[in-house]
Amino acid sequence: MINKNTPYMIFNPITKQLLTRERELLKKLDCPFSINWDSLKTTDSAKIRLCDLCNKQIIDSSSISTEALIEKIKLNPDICLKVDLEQTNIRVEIDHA
Amino acid sequence: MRKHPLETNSHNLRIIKTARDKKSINLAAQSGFFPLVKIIKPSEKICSKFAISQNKETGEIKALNDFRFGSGGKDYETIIDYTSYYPYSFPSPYAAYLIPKDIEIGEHVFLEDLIEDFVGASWNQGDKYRLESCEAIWNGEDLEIQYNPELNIRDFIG
Repeated sequence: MINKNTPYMIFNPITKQLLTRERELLKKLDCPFSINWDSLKTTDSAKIRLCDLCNKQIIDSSSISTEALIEKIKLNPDICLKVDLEQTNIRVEIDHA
Repeated sequence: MRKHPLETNSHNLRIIKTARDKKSINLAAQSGFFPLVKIIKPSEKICSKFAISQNKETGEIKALNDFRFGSGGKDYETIIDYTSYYPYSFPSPYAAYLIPKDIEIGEHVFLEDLIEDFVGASWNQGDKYRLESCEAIWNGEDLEIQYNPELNIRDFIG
């Protein structure tokens, strides 16, 4: 069980939307490519990999605090992220509204 | 001129679009595409889960999808325990891949919006989600989908 005081984000795997705990949309993880994290170029940081297709960095969202990640997304909405449903700062929620 | 990466795909293959209702299928046919029509068959492998908790006083409900976050709080009681279901819906029970007239036999293409169900992501709580797009080969009559679980089941990136 995750401690309810632990900061987390909400992820909907059907719409691929990442939201704050207050349900503010942060971004949609809708990369059109068939990208595997394991096949991306490694960097000096284990938290970041490089994508050749867009020449962008992809950040492992499990390796950074929720607050810092939200700040990074708000500063740069085009930032690329990797989300694993098993990471502890993610709550899976499917909104059928 | 090189296409913007978002207009193409990782292997720079021709993109095959999908039409998901009669009107758009017929519009595509009138525009010169051959609609390769498929029945939408939900796969038993694709599933999510939900539980419903209800506030004991107000009757309001919470839908829960993640075991790690408990049952909704002390004022709530579980009225539907975790239940598997198919979490996707489509506008029509059929759809069509829009095949361009100049496609060649053996051509590798990129299906932008897969009609068939293949597992694209899985979770250690048992949930499995659809793969959205995949490569395929045109054999002259049909598209042979090049699904490879080792490559196609992956984390969410974007």
